[in-house]
This record gives sequence, C-alpha cells and structure tokens, in this order.
Amino acid sequence: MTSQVRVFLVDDHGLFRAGVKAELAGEVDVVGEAGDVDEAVAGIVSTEPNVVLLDVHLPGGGGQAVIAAVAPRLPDVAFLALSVSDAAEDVIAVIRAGARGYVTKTIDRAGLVDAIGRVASGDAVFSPRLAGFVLDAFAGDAPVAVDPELDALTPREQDVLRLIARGYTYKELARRLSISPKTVETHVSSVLRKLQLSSRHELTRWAADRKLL
Amino acid sequence: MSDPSDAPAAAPPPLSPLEARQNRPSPHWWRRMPSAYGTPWRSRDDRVFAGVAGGFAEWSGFSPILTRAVAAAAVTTSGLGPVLYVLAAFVLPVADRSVPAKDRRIAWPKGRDRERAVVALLVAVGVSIVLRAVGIWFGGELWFPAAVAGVGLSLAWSRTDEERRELWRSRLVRLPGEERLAAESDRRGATVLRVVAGIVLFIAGGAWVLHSAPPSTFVPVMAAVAATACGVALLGGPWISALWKDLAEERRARIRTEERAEVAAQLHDSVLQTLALIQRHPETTRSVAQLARQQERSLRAWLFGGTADGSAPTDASATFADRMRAAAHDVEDRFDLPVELVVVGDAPADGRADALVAAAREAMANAARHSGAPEVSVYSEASETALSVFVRDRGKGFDPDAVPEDRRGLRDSIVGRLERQGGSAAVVSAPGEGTEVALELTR
Repeated sequence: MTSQVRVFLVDDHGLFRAGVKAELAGEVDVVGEAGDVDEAVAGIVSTEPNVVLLDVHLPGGGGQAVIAAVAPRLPDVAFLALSVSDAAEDVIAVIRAGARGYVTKTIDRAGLVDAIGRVASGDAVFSPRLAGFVLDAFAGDAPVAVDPELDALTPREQDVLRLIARGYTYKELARRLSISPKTVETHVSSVLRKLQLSSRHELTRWAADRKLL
Repeated sequence: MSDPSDAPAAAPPPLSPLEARQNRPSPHWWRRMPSAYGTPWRSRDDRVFAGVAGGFAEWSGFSPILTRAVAAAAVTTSGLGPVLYVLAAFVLPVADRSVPAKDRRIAWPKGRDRERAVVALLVAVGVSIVLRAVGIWFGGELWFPAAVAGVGLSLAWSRTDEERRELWRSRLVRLPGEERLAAESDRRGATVLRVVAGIVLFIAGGAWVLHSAPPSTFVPVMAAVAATACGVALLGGPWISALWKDLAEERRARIRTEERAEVAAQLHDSVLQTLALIQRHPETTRSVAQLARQQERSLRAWLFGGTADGSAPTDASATFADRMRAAAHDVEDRFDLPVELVVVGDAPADGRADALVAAAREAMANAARHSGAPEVSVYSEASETALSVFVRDRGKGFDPDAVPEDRRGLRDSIVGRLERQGGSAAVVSAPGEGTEVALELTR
C-alpha cells in the first residue's frame, strides 16, 4: 500500500482505544486519539486524518458534537460511527449529523479495516443493524411527502438494504442482484444521503417512539 | 438563667441512636437528658403520685416545688386538670436514671428556639383574646389548666430535638395527592380524613362565629381573626416554606438513593457474577465468550428496556419480534454461537407467526449444528403483507438435492411446518457457499 489511511480514534474508554489501535497496527496509520469532545476536535483539526473512528456516546455532547464542530472546517474528513449502542435514535442521530457509516464494536478486524478503507474512499458503510434501522425508519407510506425524492427509498435501494440486513457483503450482494459492486456503493450512498437530508418526520420521531432491543 | 455552655461535661450519658444520627449541633442542654427522646418524662426518684411533676421539673429545670404548686393548682381548680395528670402518668415514660440536681438548671430556649416560644405564646394569647371577644370561652375554671397545658406544649416543642421535629412536621405537613412511596399509601387515607375533618371544623367554626357574634361586634371580630391569621402566616410562612424545601430535598435524595441501589443490585447480580465466573475459568475461551455474550444481552435488555434477566417476554403479550429475539437468544445459548439478528417491523404473535418462529429456530439450529460458520445472520421483517425470515450462514454449505430421505429436520421442521400454514420455505446452498434459508408467510 503506497499510503496508509490516516485514522483518528475517538472513544471515551482508553482500554477500547488501546485494543483498536493494536488491532489496526500495520493496516492503517493511527495518528491520534481522544477521549472527549473537546480533545477530539482539537486533535482532529491538528492532525487532519482521513477517517475518524467515532464513538456514538462521548462525554461532552456525543459523537454528533464532534462532527458538528469539525465538518465545517475540514469537509474532507470522513466519520465512521462505532458503537455498542442498540438505541436507534443514537445511531440515526450520528448518521444524520454526517457520519459515513456505522459499525458495531463487535466487528472483527478485517471488517473494521475494510470499513475504514471504504469510508476513506468516500463510500458509505452500513452494518446489518443499521440497514435494519433504516428500513424500519422508511417503512410505510410517508404521510406528508415534502420531497418524494428524498422521503422514500426506491425498490432497488430497499433490496440492497434488505440484503445487507440479511448479512450479505457488498460483493455477495452485487452478485446476487447481478449488478456491479460500484452500483451497490451508489445505492448505499444514495440511501445515506436520503437519511441525512430527508425531512421524513419518522426519521426524527420514529426512533424515540420505538423500543428497539 | 444559666449559660448552657457551662453544663457539666463529666460522664455524659451515651449518645442515643437518634442523637448520634444528628449531624447538626444539638443544644447543650440536650446532653443532660437521661432519655433518648425530647418529650418530658416521669421522674424515677422524685415522685409524690406518679412523678409527673417531678419529671417535668427535672426535664424543664424549673424548681420542683414551683412545678408542684402549679400542678396542684391546675389539678384542683378544674375538672380538666386531673384528666391531664392521669393522661400524662400513662403516656410519659419513666426516666431510666436519676437526674442530679446540678443537671437541673433552667436552660431557657435560645436563639430561634426562643423566638419560636415567644411566637407560640403570642399566638396563644391572641387566640384566647379572639375567643373571648367572640364569646366562646372555656369558662372560668378551665382557663388555668388550659394555659398550663399550652405552656407545657410550647416548651415541649421548643425543647424537642431537630430530628424529631422533622419527623412530626413531615407527618403534619402533607397534602393529599402528594407523591409518596407505595408503602406509605395507607397514610393517604389518614391525610384525606385529616383534610376533611379540617374543612368540617373550619366551616362549623365559621358558622359558630357568625352565629354567636352580635352584628355590632362582627366587623371587629373578623378583623381580629384576620389579624391573627396574618400574624401566623407572617411568622410561620418562611418556616413552612423552608420546611417544604427540606422535604423536597429529602425526597430527591431518597429517590437518588433508591436508583443507585437498583443499579448496584443489577450490576451485582449480573456483571460482578459474570466477572467472577470469568476469573475462575479464564482458560476456556469458548465459555468466556458465551458468558460475555449472555451478560451483554442481559445488560442491554436492562438498559434499553425489556425484562431484568435479559430474556424476551414469553407471555401472551409478546409479539412476533419478541419471539424471534427469544429464539435467537435460545440458539445462541444452546450452541454457543453468535446470532446476529436484525428485526424490522413487528406483528402480533398468533399461531401462524409462532410456526414461522419455530421454523426459523430450527433453521438457526441447523446452521449452528452443521455449517461450521462462526456466526449466523438472521433478518426478520414484518411488512404489511408478509412475515419473512432469512437465516444465513457462511459455513460449508451443502447440496440440497443430496440430503438423505431420513434427514427429517429440514423437510418436516422447516418446509413442512410453513407449508401447513400456507407459507413457503426456500433453501439456497451449495458446498462451500454457505446456506440461506428464506421463510415467508403471507399475512
């Protein structure tokens, strides 16, 4: 690899940071780490990494506070949310704030390296669980479709998300749907954009109404 | 009048539990009390009849002779006096030690206690004047014992320790509807009764005043009543509001303590037990992983809702999604293999949904038993038109056409079960490709 991806780690548990750092050694270049929002913003601005691995729950405002502070200054930094939380509202909030993807902390090493690489190259990373959240959020008819383009998923996007939720990798999924992996990326990015821009009131309200285990 | 600070320091009685709990400084004279409580007592040594007057003298520090004279006058001049004496003889406890004369110096109330005593006295005087003006009067022979009782009560109040007062106040100052613990709910009835009785008395008293006051004295009487009430409000208002604040603070503290206790109990029952188990068997990585998974699930269920032990509800109210979760957890535990379950939508659980869940459980178990994959992915969706479940593994796979006839698991437990409900099951698999079982049931 000519140039390794520069990664910044943000998590309030030092032990977890140490573990991830050890796991990623040799695969990516961990340029810094932080344990709270202020530290993270300062560190990211000074190191200008490619990818920030961002814990959803952080003292001082949570992951979305970091994105809100950094994104206007460094639009090229990509955020990958990393969480143990099963609370859909937390995950959706970080994605809507601008994270390019969401993976659970139990993800294995290869999966994490792969996800970092894809986020760094501008793609979106959906875990099965996030795909489930999104399908749930977009399920049913939007009663007041302010922007039909943004407020509903196309059938193809739904197919892609369903397969992700069923545990398919992008490659398997592309073969299954007889499309190219690049097209899969396009669909996922489009879903991500809808997730971030949609005015569907379900997206903001839905998570709170629902008790997801 | 003596300075309380020069009270004898020698051989102080052991602190009572009540006093030991107090963290605010108690008045010096309090330490001289032989009894643990702030109420008067009957004397052990100094008694003529029951020791009431002697005890009161020990307790208050007044001369026993003076106390007896007053008591004798009160008892003999009215019918109420003997009643009060007998009542006191029954109610008051006998002191548990003798009280030396040097401990019996009068300690007048100081500071706020004095203010309160004076206020109480003024209120009592004002009330009696009002009563007299209205024409309601105890009669000549009753005023003296009533006054003695009043002074005694006000003294008792001013000399009671702070904590006990707090207790009294918290019982007195309660309104109906005020939030309280379930265990105290029986007290609500008493509160309602008290409020009703208060209203009845208020109305009856008001009617009595209006009835008995001649029209010419009506205005001055009402003015006097209003003035007295204003005085009471002015004097007692800040005290009552401070009391309310104290009570609210106390309640908040109690709620915090209870929450803390609940968290501690949960952590103890689950996390600490698991950590202990892991410490005892750190070498068996599979069981450690299983323990960690079970623990994670249980903690998650507790944090994000659900039942305390982490199991999905199994009662009739459980939904399709609940039962899918329960099935996935069950397979995880039985086969010690992570099941990644994603649930979208939900539906009420009926017999058909249960058949689907049972088939899905069998498919998960098959994957766990035969595939050799490190995890199983399960996706379950309840849409408007159908319930569908996909069970997928990346294990070694098999050729569905080559399954021997006698292997009934797939045919009976999965395909047959669904077909009986009008659903369908499809198995996609090839050697080396992993397996996916797709189950669908139209609604």
